[in-house]
Amino acid sequence: MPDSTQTAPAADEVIDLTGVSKRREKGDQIFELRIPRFRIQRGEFIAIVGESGCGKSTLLDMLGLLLTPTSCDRFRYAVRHPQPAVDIDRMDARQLAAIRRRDMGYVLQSGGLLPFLKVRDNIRLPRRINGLAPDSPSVNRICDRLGITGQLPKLPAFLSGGQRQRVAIARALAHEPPLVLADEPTAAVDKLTAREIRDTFKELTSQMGVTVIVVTHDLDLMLPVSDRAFTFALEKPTGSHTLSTCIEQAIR
Amino acid sequence: MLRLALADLWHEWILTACLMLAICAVIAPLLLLFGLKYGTIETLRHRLIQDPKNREVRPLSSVSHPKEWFESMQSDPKVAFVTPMTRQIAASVTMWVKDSGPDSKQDLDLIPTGEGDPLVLENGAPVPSFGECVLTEFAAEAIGAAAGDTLIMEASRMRGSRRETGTTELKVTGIVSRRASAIKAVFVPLPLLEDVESFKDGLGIPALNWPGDKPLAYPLFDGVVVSTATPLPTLLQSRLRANTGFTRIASPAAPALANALGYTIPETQSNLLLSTELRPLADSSITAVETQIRGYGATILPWVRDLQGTIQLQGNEDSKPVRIVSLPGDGKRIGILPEPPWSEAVDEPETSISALIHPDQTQNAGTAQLTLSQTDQPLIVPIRLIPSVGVPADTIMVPSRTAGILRLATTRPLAYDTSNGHFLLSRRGYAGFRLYARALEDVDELRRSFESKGIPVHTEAQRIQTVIEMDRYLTLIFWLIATVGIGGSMASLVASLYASVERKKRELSVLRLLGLSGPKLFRFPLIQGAVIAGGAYLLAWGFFAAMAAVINHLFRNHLQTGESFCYLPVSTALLAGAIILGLACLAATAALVRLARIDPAEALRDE
Repeated sequence: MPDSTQTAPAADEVIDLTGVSKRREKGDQIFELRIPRFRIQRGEFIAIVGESGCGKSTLLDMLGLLLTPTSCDRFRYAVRHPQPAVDIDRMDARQLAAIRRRDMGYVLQSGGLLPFLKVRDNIRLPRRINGLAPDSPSVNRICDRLGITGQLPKLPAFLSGGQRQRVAIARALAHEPPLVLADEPTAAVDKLTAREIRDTFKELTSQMGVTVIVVTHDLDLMLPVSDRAFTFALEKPTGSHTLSTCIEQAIR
Repeated sequence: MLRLALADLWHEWILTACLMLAICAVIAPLLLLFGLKYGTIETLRHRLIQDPKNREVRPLSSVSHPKEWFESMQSDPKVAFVTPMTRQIAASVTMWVKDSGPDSKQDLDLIPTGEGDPLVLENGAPVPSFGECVLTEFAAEAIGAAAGDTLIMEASRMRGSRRETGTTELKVTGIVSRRASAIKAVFVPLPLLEDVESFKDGLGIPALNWPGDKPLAYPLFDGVVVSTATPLPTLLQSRLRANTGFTRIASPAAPALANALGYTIPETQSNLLLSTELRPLADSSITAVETQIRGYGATILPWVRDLQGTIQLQGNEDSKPVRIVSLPGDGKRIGILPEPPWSEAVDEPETSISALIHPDQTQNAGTAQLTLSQTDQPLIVPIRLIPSVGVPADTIMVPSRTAGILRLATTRPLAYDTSNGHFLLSRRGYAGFRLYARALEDVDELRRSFESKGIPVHTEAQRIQTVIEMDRYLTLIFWLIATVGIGGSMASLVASLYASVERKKRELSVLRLLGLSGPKLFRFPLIQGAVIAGGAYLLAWGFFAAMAAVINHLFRNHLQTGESFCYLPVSTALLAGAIILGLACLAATAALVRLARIDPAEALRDE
């Protein structure tokens, strides 16, 4: 593994977080998340595993550019392949929003679908927002593969939990982003369905060469498909101070 | 974005409808309140302030005003309209609808009107011309007439024990609304009213074929000289003051008498000058004197005091002042000087009046124009000048009867009919008037100006003040209520929209996650707020329109044309709409700003 402290990133490194920390204070309780080193290669399938309250959602929000770190040595993205890497900490809200819009797809815990739009329109939404044609062959293929073509004219409320998660995956991939973030994508479904969804998700993303970061508490479910995993080490230096450090976990 | 926002609203149409209804529920009563303010208060205000009755200035006493006075009043910029009135007693007539016959007859009062009469014009009727009339609502009800009907008007008078009537037809051109007058009255042009008054005074009106007398002028005298060959007994002298109207009796010395009379009586005669200090007396007083001295062979010489005029000779521009002397024709008998060339035949009018004049003052006997000085209206009479020795300079001498009539002309207007030599009585003046100020503010000034001229008047000044004050308080109260109402509605509007944005937190966060930011994201709740508020406003408007129609329908009997109890001007309605939309957007923005500050991640995971 190359020395990651060097300034020049590896050729296909899409995310480089070095010495990032996020501090949150709630009353007299302080929670601090430290990420000494978090580097992701293009096309990797990464699992972030941890109990609730360890900071995995905070990390995901930082990766999704919704939260800004309290401090960082390096926060660099190179998701769009031919373009040079950008330092996120130097960008303003509009530029961040543009990256989110264009280069990222999200799969939320309970789908995060807009209840007032039909399934078809929910899937089209990221394409519309990006000014792309609402339909494309790849979208149709994704829907076929996910088995939701028959659900397209329905409203999300009429779908089962599993179907909703599949639609959420379709929406996350619809505008063909290079990076997909998934937050507990299978938490709301039964084990069997979860496995099906996981496999389809993995298959689609690796076919499309998409980098995937999945936050999960279910290590057993995600480990088989993950290239690498990260987890958190919790410390309590004082009674009111919780320190969580993100570390890579060896999985093979 | 628009599609997204609308799709969301449509998806939750029940909630959307609820929100709209909630906002509508606070807007609609406000609209109604405003509508009532505009309708009711403006109507009342209009009625009270604009009612011509409140601009009326009514005389309290019946001082007689000549025609010129009315002309000068009409030219006053503070006066909108003034018309003379005849005596109230002379304005009462009987009328009936021609087609229904005299069974429907009613006693009605005539009210004079004329061009620009606000009481008629501002109460929905045209000003009638001669041969037409306008009825008050009460009069129309009483005789059962409608506009377009023909009425018979009958004026009546008593002559001795005989009742005489004169009738004419009048076409009803309009009926004034109830507020104009609470009496049964008929508006007619002033000339008709004058005719009725003249008829009641016993005169004939040729234009209407009403029989009666001509208004012939009669002589008035300030005194008489009773001239006898021997002095009258003292007892008789004192009797001459009883029941004759003359209050003073004197036997002046010859020079003083000649000075007073203007001519000389032979010194052999013994003379008594009976005179009156106040009003001049008519023929009847002279007759009374004659009765007292019957059998004493007395000559009675009527006398007028200080009659002045100017004469203008034919073909001469200059007019010169002259003293006009009564030279009794009867004086011939006792040899007065100069000797009168006429006799005092009663009822024998001449087409011109003979007058003696000093020979130096006219080259030849000729005609001239005499203008009497002591009249309000100039009275011009043609005279035939007879040069005569013994007439003092700057003096003309006329028959006693003529002098007496000229004396009458100094007390009231006369006209001289050149076709037959009659002096006719002209209208003396008018007993009253109807006057309307141009604006409410002018009323009090007119009142003061009248009172300074000694004419007590009645105005609605007190009532006007009350109305103005009441208007002010009503407006204040309205605004107090409206402020509370507006405050409440706005709070409710803001709260409703704020809550709806708050409810959309999750959807908004998802959109944010999908890369929408800033203005684009803002548009979502803005559009929704605007749509909800707009819909609520339209709904409220519909509600208002329906309620307004109901209210106006319920009160239609109390409304005049063009009035409504509940009404909103379009500009106010648009303003209200704009304010509501603005507030909606403000509320949505306020909610959004707060949302933007909370952690989006929290919103996504709050379930």
